[in-house]
Amino acid sequence: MTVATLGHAHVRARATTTEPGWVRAVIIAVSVVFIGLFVAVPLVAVFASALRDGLGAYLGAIVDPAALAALRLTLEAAAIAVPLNLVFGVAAAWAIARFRFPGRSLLITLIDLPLAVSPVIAGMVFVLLFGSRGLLGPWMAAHHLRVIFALPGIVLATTFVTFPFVARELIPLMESQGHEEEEAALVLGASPWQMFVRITLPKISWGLVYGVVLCTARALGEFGAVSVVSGHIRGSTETLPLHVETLYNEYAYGAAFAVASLLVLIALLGLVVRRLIAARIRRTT
Amino acid sequence: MTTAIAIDHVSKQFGSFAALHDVSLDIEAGSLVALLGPSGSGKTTLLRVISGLEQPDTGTIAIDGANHAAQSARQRNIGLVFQHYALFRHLDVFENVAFALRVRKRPKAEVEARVRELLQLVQLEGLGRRRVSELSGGQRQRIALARALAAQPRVLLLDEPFGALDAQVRAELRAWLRRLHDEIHVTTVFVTHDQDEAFEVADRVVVMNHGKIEQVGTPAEVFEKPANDFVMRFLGHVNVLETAEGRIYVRPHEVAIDRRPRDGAIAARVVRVTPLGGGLKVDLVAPTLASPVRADLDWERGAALALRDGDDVFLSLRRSRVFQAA
Repeated sequence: MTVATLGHAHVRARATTTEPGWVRAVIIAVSVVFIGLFVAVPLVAVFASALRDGLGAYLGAIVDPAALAALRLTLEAAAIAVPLNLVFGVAAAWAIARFRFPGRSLLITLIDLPLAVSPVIAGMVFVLLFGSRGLLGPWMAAHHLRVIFALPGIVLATTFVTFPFVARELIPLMESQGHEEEEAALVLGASPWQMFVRITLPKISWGLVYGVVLCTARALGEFGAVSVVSGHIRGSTETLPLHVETLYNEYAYGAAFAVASLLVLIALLGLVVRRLIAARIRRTT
Repeated sequence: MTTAIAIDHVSKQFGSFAALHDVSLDIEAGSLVALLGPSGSGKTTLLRVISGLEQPDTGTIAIDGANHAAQSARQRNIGLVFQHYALFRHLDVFENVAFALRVRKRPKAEVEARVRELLQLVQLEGLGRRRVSELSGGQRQRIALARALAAQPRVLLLDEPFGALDAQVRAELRAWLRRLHDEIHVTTVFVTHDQDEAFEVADRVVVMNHGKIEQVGTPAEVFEKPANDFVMRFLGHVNVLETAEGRIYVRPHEVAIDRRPRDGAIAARVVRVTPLGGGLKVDLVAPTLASPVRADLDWERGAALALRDGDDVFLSLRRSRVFQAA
């Protein structure tokens, strides 16, 4: 096994060093130009457009009551969806990594569903379930419960779209770490809860933080699913991405890009945190 | 004699694989017992059933007279040293050893004193603040042992305790474990596939195969009086000779070589002479025997005979055994 791996690495190392110079130059150039055209230029354009009408107008668009309400709603939805997915992700990863049970492979497949299906469809599913003409609509109306066009719907849609992230981060981690330390803790007299808090949580902590960062970034930026269930009520059921779209449709380009730049800043912050955590995980394992 | 661990008709199945098949065994209090067998013989499963990490399908385990088959691992107060130690990587040495006391919410001063005492016992005082990753294999092994002993377990179990160490460290630790046991007298059961290890360390050896116990006895008993051909074959090299009287088993050191024929001796030819440890290993073929024969001679006898490849000699069997076909 070791010999085979070494041999493979050796072949690969030689292959990269014998690549002709012009091939390397072309590959690097293609990557750099592509990233430049599709990532760097749009990023700069967002900030340039946002600041087009001057810093005053930029700040004005951000402290606009509708924008602040959208920011607040976005954070609220994320603040409910992320902890839900944290609990679900740990439970699902635990079940899949530790136990063999009927339906295990189906569960693994279903965890990936939100990544495979278009978010719009996810939103429509919730409308079909909870909308006024939906399956549970009449019952909910009778009990004065509102899901669609209200915070619960936005939270549901956000939770659905973001639930794979924590679980997907933890499953391979927990599978590679094995179960021996947990068994040792039990034999040493720990209760299952003590075992989880003292052994399992510290073992998976960085993977967990990483998953939460990915999950949060997606929760803050989700558009499609939320768009379907929110109803776009300005100042009430609009999240930041929806507010950007509304402003854009109203030809308020400066304001649209100002609010968009806020989302970009959050995304960049998330990237930095991810890099830091990834480096930390590499060092501790 | 009091029985510390009573294993009564225990069976354990993994899917279609019978890991343990109706195993019964009494382990004497204060003894040091080796579970010896090839891989897949059920020895590790038996250890895990005693520890409570596995529940037997049928049968009972009683520790100190109380039936613990229904108790979970944490209620049994057993010390277990895992094959790869399973030390807590995110905790330092001190906290690893202290774990059993921390989860029992013992007072801080007691924990401090007990951990210091244990680190002294395993001769690793002063390493308390080290990270586990900074320890050598032998040190990790001793920390795993100290951790297992922290809550004063009624029984200490070790799974292949020397398996992951290099030969020299292994030999030192064997002798050390034996001395430690003589010092603290806790009933100890360890799993090994290495016959030398079992014989050197244990008071009693339990030879296992295919989920069953083949023989239980002192090292001398199982070596001198193997119960069946499996035990005979497993405990060192053996010549299996098909003769007119049936299949007979002869250890290499029980084969004598002479230059001149003796009564009942078999004519043979030397194929190869190899110096080996304290003597010579001689490979021979005999026209009347179907398979080659190995003989082990001490240096003196080897020097007196001065054997060379191709020499014609005579074999006699000082001792041989016949077993009923299994």
